[in-house]
Amino acid sequence: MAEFLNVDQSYISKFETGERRIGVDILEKACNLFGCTLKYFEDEKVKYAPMSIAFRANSLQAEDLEAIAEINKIALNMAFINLMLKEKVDIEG
Amino acid sequence: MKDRLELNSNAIYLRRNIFNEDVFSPLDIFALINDIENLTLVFYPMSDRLSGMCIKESQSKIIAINSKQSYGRQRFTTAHELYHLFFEDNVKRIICEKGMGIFKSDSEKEADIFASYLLAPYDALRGYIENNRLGGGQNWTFEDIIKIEQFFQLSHQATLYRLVCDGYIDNDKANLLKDNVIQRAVRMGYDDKLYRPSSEEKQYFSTGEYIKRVEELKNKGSITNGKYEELLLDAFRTDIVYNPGEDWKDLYD
Repeated sequence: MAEFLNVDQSYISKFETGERRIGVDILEKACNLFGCTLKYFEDEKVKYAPMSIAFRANSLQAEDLEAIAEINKIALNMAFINLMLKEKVDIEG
Repeated sequence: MKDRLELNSNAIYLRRNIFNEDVFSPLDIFALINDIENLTLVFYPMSDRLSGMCIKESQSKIIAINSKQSYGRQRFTTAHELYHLFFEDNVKRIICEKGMGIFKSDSEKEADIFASYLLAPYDALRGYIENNRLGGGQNWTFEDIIKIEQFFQLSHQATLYRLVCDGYIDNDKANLLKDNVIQRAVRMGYDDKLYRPSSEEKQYFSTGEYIKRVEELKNKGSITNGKYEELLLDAFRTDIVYNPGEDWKDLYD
């Protein structure tokens, strides 16, 4: 995880224990990996559906997380596109 | 876990009702998949630990394929992901392992069996073997296996795995039929496409709903040109953003 985010492992531990704040750029990268939006961190009401990894997750390496994040990014964009198209219809309709 | 008979039925259901195809023909899965509304196909060069991934995003479906796999295996992975998207409930995101075999979860095993039957339904394989008078599997040559996989456009591993599962050959026989596949296939007069990964310029690529919708947003004036380009680049369509010139010259032949 630290390798994927390109940060030191201690940075993640400090974030987990609340000793450090995390940068938006890193948070954004993490969002792509988990397939959620930044809103999830801002708004407690936003639900998150965890991804199902069909094999031993500990055999995943940084380059796999990179691939997963890039594909998730496309899915997040798709959600954005659908929302934009829907809003357009709502306004016009 | 679902049994093989049920998975074969699922495969035939998808062939008939979604692809409008019969039970016996080989399937041009990448052409047919364009007809599925709300589906985006993404090609991405993943490590050899991953075969693919699928995501459901409200009505939209996304299938990602490891483009470093052979073309035959990419077809198989696409069929595998279709199982997750069309026959499993509550799918959000699934990341799939490349290996085949007994150590996988039931859902992954089902998707593998389904994929095999989608590309080559039980009766289609049986019919092909009978029509070509191949006789008992234990006497088959390497060339017989290649003929079968070329007809159905299945990867070599997926073909052997299927022939063992359906009881045509045993594991020992399959183990003797694994090496120098490309060399043998080209000497039999076949193209080697089935056994090769995507060409370099198509290793990062995408087709389907996503592209169509981005264009729609642009045409409606809902997004800036910068956002339009960003969305296309995120989906690896540099060709649309940077190169709408010489490459798009039509042959019209």
